[in-house]
Amino acid sequence: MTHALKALAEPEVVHAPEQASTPTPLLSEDLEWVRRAKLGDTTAYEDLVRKYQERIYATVYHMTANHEDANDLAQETFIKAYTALKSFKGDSSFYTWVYRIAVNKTINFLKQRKNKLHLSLNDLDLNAENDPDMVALVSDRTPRRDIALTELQEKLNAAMLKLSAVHRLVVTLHDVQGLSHEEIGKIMDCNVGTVRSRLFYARQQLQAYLSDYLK
Amino acid sequence: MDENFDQVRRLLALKRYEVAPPGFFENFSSKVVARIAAAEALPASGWWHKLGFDFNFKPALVCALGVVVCGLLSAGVLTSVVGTPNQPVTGLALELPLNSGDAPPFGQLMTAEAVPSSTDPVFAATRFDQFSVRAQPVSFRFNK
Repeated sequence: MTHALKALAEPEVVHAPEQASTPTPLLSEDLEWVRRAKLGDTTAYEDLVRKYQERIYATVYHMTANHEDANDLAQETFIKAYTALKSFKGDSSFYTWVYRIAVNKTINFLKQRKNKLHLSLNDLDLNAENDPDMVALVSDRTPRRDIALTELQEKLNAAMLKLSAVHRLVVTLHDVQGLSHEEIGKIMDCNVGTVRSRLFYARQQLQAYLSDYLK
Repeated sequence: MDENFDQVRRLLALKRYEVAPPGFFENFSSKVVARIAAAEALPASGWWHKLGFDFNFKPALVCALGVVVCGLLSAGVLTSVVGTPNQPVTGLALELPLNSGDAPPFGQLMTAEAVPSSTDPVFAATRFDQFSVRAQPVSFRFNK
């Protein structure tokens, strides 16, 4: 009996992690840490890294579908941000600024790799099997009722990799990380209309790629 | 077609459960800070870095060495082809009279002792005119 089917027998309602609704960062706290980091206080910078490490890592990971690459790129993002901290004027939040560095680094990395990407997926959190939405994905409402969540995870990531980098980014930031269109526009340096149209196109593509696994 | 993409969005929510290995973030920030400290501890970069020429010299040195080796090989080959300098030119150019009236008949020309051997050098002996084949104007008279 798979974990997913077990979950069907014992439904325990668990909702997706809070990653979906990104908390608004405390800008004053960030600005103070940035000010101290500019003066060479690495402890303050470590606080900044600790605050954003999970979100930056997750963004890069969902873009590359590879844990090792995401680890390297996330570290390089924070190193680059530290060396470029003098050029940070505070026009945008530190969080938007560091996201932009991560996104640019990841897109450049994906361009260099082109089609040489390979999956190295993280394990699913055990709570996934108790999420009603996830249970529904593997229940009898889905045409492929025998499918397990891990297999679905692989198919989903393979479909994501078929998208172009910008479309994958929009889907990642909005549908996975829960950022607003406005925030995504700031990170990608484009207007909200462009974000919406990219999101529509990306979802349409994913729907086509994953039609066998959708109701 | 699901215009609201509810199914796709629900499926994408699965990715929120893809989490980094346990303990991964415990040392992440300290690793970043350690790498920053290590980079700062490196000696100051050279003047070429300050000018923006941030490239690795090793491939450039290997390339330069390759060019030198190729140059030496080419020089050696050319020297061996050219032969002894100031050697008199003996080639395909036949010592034929310029005046067409004095030209020997065609058949005589073919049997003349002046016909060069195939082993005679074709090129000039000096380094500077080695590729110019010398020729002289000829004329043929055909006996009816």
